[in-house]
Amino acid sequence: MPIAIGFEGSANKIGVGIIRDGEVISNPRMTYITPPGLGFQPRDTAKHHRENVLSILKEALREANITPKEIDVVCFTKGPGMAAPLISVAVVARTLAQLWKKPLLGVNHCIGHIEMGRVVTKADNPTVLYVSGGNTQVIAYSENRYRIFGETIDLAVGNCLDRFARLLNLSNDPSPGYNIELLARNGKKFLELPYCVKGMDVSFSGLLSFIEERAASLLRKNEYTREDLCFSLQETIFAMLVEITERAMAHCGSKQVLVVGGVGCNIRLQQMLQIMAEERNASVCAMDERYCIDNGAMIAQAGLQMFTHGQRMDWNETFCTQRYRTDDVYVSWRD
Amino acid sequence: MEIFAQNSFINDSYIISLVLFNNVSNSSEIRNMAIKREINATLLKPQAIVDSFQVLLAANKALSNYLGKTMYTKSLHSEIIFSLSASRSITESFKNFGVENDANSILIVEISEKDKSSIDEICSRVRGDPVKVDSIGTFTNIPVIKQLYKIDESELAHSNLNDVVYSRMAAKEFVNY
Amino acid sequence: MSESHVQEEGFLFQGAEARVYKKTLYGKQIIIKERFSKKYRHPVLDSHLTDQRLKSEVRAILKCSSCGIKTPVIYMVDFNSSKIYMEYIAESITIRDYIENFLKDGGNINELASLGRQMGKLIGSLHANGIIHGDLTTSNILIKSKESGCDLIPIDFGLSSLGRLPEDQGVDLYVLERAMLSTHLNSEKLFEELLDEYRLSFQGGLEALNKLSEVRMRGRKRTMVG
Repeated sequence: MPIAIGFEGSANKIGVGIIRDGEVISNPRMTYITPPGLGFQPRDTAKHHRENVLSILKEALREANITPKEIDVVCFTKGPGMAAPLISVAVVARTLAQLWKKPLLGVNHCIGHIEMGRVVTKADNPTVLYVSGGNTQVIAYSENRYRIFGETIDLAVGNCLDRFARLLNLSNDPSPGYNIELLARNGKKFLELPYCVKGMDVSFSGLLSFIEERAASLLRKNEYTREDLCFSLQETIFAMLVEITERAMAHCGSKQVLVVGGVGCNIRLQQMLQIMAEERNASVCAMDERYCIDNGAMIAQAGLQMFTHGQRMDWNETFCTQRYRTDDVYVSWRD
Repeated sequence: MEIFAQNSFINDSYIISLVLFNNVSNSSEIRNMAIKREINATLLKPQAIVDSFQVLLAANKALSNYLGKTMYTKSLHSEIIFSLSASRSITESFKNFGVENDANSILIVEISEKDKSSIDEICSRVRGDPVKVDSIGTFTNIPVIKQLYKIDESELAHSNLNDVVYSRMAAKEFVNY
Repeated sequence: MSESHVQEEGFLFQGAEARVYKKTLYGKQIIIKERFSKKYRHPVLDSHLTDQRLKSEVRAILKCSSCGIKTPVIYMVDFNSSKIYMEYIAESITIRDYIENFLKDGGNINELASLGRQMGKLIGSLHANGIIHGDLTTSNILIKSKESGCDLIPIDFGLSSLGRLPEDQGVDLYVLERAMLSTHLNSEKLFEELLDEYRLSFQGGLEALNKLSEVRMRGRKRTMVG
């Protein structure tokens, strides 16, 4: 039974995970949390990852109760992501691959989420809604590619939520999006915000600038509470996401939805997807942290798929890249 | 006398009946009865009508607004006149599509629940010659139609007049011409 | 979706937000497009969107027809049930089906250059007349053969808007490019033909194409963190 170890650090989380035949045997991770009102900067994030990667590696090996000798392949996130954090982790993976004399594979981060989602939920051929700090895509598999049917034409959804959280000075612990979600649960009064769907694509920049211009005065005049604004923002943004997901499902004739990425943890988004799916006799795969939140195991899982289907990388291919599109990857492990 | 009767497509328990009269000698009398609601029907000027489809569309639209309680006018029968018009002015709609006291021809339209039609009774009051509803085209005054629906000659280069009329009626609530 | 709707006479298909029926109305074959409420949306947002899209669709179709671009004739708009009654375009199929049939019969996608050019011309004339379709795909254009060649008939204008901004025109093309490339394998050259004719037939075409490149770059350049 092949064993893969995966290293992930493309954003503010650093994780090392070990997979044995589709089963997660260890998957520790840490999050770099910044003070309220501040986003995470590449340099500081990379520093955080460098300082913690080795202790997380030790923890992963100990928890899995294996020795490096038993590992078949070392996998790391090749991209997309922020350059400095990506590199800080890739350096460790490259060093270990040489030290342990194991093959090294660079993995597309998005495909890590998707493959982990498929193995955990046993969903055969889902339409994937990938929503995170840097990504907003609706993806479906066809002819050896994960094809992007819809995406944002400007801001990523998580980025939009983060910037709104900063506007309200919400805490980054555990994540700005989670704090918006908590406030939104108590929102009542709905503020109509610009709603922008173009084909299967969405745009958030108009909505964000609309609310950036008005939030302070709406709050000051007590017309809307912070809870109301969070509520209205979520209702609008998520409706756009669910709409393009449904359009892609109708287009591809798909009956399953898988939501991956950090924003996928949001209960309200899951609920809306659920309602949409039920209305068209489709189903939503249950959310699970193993594939929603960035972690090492998902990189190991996608890498293991590539490895067992004969993919190998030359040493000079094992670099990082900030921009690495989901549809750039040739998918050899599915029909 | 030919009664052209069709089910409504909005609600098929309603029936729309059309009767066309020519050489009418008591138009003002009929008109007064309609105003006083002694007869429950709409009286239309055949010159402003291109075909029965146009009238059936207006009648169905009126019925939908009636059943949905979203009428612009006070009665189902006046709502038909409003629905026919490309104008959002009720007064103008009546002026353009309603019959005048000295009208020589009248198209009578009645919407009723099935089996409750009183179209025979209404028609018995009219002194004139009933003619087939599908001869309405011989009454149509095309210059008047073009003016009422603000139809440009250039538009007719690639569209059929009747189709332009239907579209004008369909979208008058939110499209300006 | 209730069962009765599926079984209702004339039911054709259900899209993401509308059910489509084909019926005969007083001797005319017609299409009824019924927008329905989406339960996942906040009711205020939902009714606003349903209403807005119904109006946008009708506005754009009427604008097309007044500019000589063939679209289905609108017979009636019923706000009480969010239905549009319109002309049924007989003997037509979507460009998507047309391409798929052509490939199934052993054709090569690059032989469809003239179709690409005709699409480019159509979109050029939409844009020249201030119409942004908003959801251009090969499923949203019908093709109907006639004695010499064929007519292309754009449909599904629910996401449309009226305006002449090169940015909107560029995004309109971008949406189509994405839809074509993900639906039809190896359609890159077909799309190039389309753009070529678009630029030739529409005066503002060059500006819109520059915007298209910008929009594409935004997609590529975005740092996709996390």
